[in-house]
Amino acid sequence: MHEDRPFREITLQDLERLDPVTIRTARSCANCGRCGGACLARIRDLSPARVLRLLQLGRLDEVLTSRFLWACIGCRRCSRCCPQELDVATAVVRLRRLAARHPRATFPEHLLRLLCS
Amino acid sequence: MPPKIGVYLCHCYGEIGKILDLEKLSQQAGKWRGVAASIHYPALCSADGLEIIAEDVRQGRVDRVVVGACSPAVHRDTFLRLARQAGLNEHFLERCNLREQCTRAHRDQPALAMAKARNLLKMAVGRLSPAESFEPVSSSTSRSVLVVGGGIAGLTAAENLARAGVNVTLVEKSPFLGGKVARLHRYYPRFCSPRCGLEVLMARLLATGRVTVHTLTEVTGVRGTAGNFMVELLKQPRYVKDACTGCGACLEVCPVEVAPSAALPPGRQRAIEGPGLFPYPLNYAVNRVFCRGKSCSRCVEVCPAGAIDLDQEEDRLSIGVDAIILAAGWEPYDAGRINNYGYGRLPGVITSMDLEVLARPDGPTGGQLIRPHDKKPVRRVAFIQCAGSRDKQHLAYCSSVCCAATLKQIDYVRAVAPEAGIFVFYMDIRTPGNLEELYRRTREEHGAVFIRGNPYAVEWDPGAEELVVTADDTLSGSRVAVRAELVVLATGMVPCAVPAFERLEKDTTGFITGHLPCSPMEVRRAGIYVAGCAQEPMDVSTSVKSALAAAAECLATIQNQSVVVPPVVERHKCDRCGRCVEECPYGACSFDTGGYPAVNPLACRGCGICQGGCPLRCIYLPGFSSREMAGLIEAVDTGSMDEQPCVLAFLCANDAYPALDLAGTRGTSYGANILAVRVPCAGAVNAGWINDALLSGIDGVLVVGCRTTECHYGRGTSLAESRVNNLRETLQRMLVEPERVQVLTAGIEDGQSLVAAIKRFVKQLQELGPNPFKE
Repeated sequence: MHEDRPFREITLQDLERLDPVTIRTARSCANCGRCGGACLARIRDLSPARVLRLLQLGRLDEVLTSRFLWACIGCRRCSRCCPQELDVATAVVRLRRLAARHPRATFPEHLLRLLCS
Repeated sequence: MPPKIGVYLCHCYGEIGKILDLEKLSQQAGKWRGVAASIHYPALCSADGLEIIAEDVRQGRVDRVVVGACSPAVHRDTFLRLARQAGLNEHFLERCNLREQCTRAHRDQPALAMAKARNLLKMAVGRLSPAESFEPVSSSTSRSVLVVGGGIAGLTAAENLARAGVNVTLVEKSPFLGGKVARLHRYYPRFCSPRCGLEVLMARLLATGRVTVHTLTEVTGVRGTAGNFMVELLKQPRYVKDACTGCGACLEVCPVEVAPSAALPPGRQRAIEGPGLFPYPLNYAVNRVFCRGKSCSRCVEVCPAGAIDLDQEEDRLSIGVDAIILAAGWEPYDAGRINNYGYGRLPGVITSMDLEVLARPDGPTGGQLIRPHDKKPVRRVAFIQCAGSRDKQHLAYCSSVCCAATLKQIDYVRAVAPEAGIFVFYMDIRTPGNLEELYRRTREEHGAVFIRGNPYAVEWDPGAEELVVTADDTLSGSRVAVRAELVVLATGMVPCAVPAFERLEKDTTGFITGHLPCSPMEVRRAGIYVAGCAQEPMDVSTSVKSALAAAAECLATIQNQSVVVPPVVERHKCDRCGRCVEECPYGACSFDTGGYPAVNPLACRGCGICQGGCPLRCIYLPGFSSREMAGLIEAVDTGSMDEQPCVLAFLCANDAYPALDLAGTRGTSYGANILAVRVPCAGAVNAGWINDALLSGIDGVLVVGCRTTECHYGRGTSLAESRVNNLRETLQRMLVEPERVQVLTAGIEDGQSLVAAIKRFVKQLQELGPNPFKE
């Protein structure tokens, strides 16, 4: 059991790579989950709510390698519905900048072709 | 002189008059014995109607009044005012419910309504004929109050009572005042130092000159009731006389170091204690648990004032007071009992009260954020919320303050360690009202990480010399571990035990509280009020509020005016069995010097539970003497019900009576054979009345009380049930079916279900057939 699901130590060093706005958004989130319900993205390995929760726990890698980050269509429903008035959508867009440079980035194939041709 | 009863019938602008033939009823009533005048009028509650009654009283034509109109639950003050203005004793005014429980309920059966109205009126007249007048009672008190507990609640209550001119005796079991609040570093929501608030309070308290303070004193016994409590006090020796100047020379030489708690190393604390930052009283005190006694005596030798006397002995004193405020406060739950968190075993695991000590500039680390036992700098702090709380193996309840207290302590940590990692393990964060802002600030500005999960364990990593907290974060669905130098357990609050008050009623959590929500401050022993955390877990501001509330309620009691007209004791009938003394829920009934029951008007709340239990019917509330009840029962015409069984229903005035009114008002028909008598509580119904009613041919008797958990007087309904059960055996011996008596319960809005239950009872009576005693 312990082997299957080991305890993951919480370290927050990774978060230093984030910009101040994204850090503030993640910290201020009260984990209500409303943005996750509002999200229209089709690929849902994560959701806006899960992204913020993983950031709170310092697990930036998982966020940056998620397919969800590129599935966001920028509809901003998450930002509009946030009861803490956090700009979740902007945080997601800024996370893409970091994700693009990540060695295991899940940058979508078709976009890659478009850019490399 | 025979009574001159006036019967006044009200048409209620047709509500009553259209169904009942009031002209005929009025003529019939005029012929009854004792009735001097009988009239009907379109609206008795109008100015003209009231004047007719008042004029008759003033002219001496009548000296007792029956008002046949709406329910006594409405227009209460209208007719009370009339009685006062006309100079009529209010117990000589009897209301007869011809509207809610007659015309409204039986509008489809005018003939039966008429028979019921005649019965109800006759019962009212029969009861009023032998009635006696009662005057409101006042008794003299010296206006003195005992406050138990010298924490912020006790001090606040004492200060306010003293400012209102009351003489207060304040007892505190520890050597110094201020309680738990004096030990805090800061209190929320303003984050100011509690010393400031306590100083202001103390200054005002001392300025009154009306408060006598006894420290190191416990209450060992309480006798008596509101207005005349006798309290026994036991004063432990302080071993330091008033000559002490607080210089602290003794502290320098005392060889016995004392640790502030199981998890903290000894700091500057010694077996001789100074008053700390809130110096009241200023005198030092020797803690005999730790002191080596006269074999050491270094402090005695060094004291420049010669104030230390290790031969002092305990002192007993007894004082008389009118009321008691119990503000005994709380203790933190023993964190050592939560095995998997290692309190007292693992270095660096402390409680939130320990952190208050650490944060203070006069604490063992001088306010620095270092691990107390090895002085290792603290880079990460983990807070564990609900440590032992909301846990059936420890405290099943939420102590309500720990969430905000932890958020406050995160502020302490941030103030001295801006870079420290802060982790909070929680189940729910409960920050009502303005405290939500504190929660927001803690996340946003202090960057604390909140992990939703109660940790399974705290373990020690010997290599890194760190604590490891493991939990399941239920928000991310992953298992997480946090390494920390310091783990703070937010333990809950447990009420302080005061043996002298052990017999007071407690709620399921073990705290002493009054009737919620109606009279929360007064416990079920009139004259004793509860304030602060003795009542329930609460924060400082709520504690102050509760102390003010307790002081206000206490003041009302000692104003020498009774709340109700207390019951009368007919001493020539009484055999001094003591049942009333035993059963009174407020302790208002006690034995006088002759061994007879005496009712303390200040403590009586008028429930009538004493009269319900009296085997000889010699203690009774106004309107419920055996003559009055006999008059009422004899007046019932059991044959007028059109073959329907005749039922006498004793309805509790709090819930059941208004419930039946409501059913009538909504037009719920329930048969005109239910004759209701309003009683203050189901517990006020004497089994003798039921017996008399059945012997006089009434087919069935109902006693309807509040639902057992809702009784205003605690046990009224359950007492009624057990008394009726006892009566059933007697009935069986008299060959009366015991099923003719039933106890029901009803809430104030349960009109429909009450009617359904009554109908079932009537059906059962029909199956039994008429009462064998019926003529």
